[in-house]
Amino acid sequence: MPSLQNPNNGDRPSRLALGRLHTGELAADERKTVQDAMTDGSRAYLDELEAIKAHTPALGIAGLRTAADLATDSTAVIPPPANNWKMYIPVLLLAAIFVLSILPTLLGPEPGLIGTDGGGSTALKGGGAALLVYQLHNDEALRAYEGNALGEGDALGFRVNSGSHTSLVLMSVDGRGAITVFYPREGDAAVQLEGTGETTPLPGTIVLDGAPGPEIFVAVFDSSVAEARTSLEQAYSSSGAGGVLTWAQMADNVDAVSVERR
Amino acid sequence: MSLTDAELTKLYDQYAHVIYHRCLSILGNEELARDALQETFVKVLRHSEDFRGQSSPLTWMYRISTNHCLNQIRNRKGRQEKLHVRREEIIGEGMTRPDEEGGDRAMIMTLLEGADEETRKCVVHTYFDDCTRSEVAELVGLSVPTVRKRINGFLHAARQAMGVGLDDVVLLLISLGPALNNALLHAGDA
Repeated sequence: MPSLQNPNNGDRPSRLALGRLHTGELAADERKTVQDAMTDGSRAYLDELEAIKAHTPALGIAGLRTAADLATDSTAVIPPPANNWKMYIPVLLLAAIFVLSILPTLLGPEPGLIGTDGGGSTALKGGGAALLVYQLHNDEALRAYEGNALGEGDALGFRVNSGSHTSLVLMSVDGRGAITVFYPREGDAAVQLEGTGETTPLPGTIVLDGAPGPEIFVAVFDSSVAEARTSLEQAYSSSGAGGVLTWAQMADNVDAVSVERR
Repeated sequence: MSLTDAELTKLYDQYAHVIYHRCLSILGNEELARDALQETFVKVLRHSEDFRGQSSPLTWMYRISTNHCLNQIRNRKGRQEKLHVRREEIIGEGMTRPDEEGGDRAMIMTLLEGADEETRKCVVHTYFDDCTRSEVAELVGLSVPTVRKRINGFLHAARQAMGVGLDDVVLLLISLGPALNNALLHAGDA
């Protein structure tokens, strides 16, 4: 059992060594060394490895390949630009007025997925900013506007077109108003993008929890995490989901995709 | 050249359950562990050339999954309300510190969040993988004395932050390992 009081000084095989034994990586002499040093705890761990086979997720080859295609390693971060969040106040004021007129349209005929990209349009916004959300399901990657409401456990991948923008913060706000920052994965510096106008996959995937919907994924370009988060909080507090979508429609550096939760 | 479907299937059959077990132990959440498993194999696919050259594919996957798990822990602040960590799965029935419901583990995880990258990796490999100091050194790319220094520094910070003695910290760290595995295994289908 891992312990500080009984640190592993080489008197027993580590779990890494046991894992290598279990997976058949070890040569004969290494295997004998590990087996000779095994304790009851070692054997219990090997039993656990056998037992968890039944609980391990099945392999979905096409899904993995799709996720690998979507992933990139371009996760370098840059210092945040010196934008002031107060610059959004006029936009939000306009948004508060504008939302009353367009909210019925936004929430109207499409019961599944709504948002600035919800209708499936591929046209980019004025600043070129665009966010695409994909559901990775079994062996397929489906665009999130295709009417499939999402649920707990669904895996999502993202692509963005940064247009002329050079950095990204990707967040979501769920039906309770809880905000989660997905990119960057740490710190307050936005993820750097090349700004080539090409649609770029973001690394990794996320798995939805059981939070109530709608969940709105928001891409904010050329902003620090703190500024983007504050703007999202203000947009949500103004008119809920509609406020966020209106903000995304009106700001050139913001795009959003809203998904319903089943 | 990318891995063929047959190669990928063979690797998955051979290693996926080991990586899944480990990620489950560290993250304490089946969904996050599934995500970590997928991310690990996505990296295998994307870096298949590097991967083919590994004498120990499991060691390579350990490094990849460690990075992913630490990122998940680091992102925990923004996801706290989205994770459902049950005390029984983490502490186990044998743990006798009922004074703060879930607070002890939260403290350890908070300490991990605050630690530097190298220390976090040292802690994970030591307490979740039961690695020797030399194994940790090889995995993280540090010298053995530096690993020892990182662990001692973490314990010192833990004691100060928790206001408890070394024995209490030890009990907590023990509780984050196998007890979690057993509880999750037996509650796997719940």
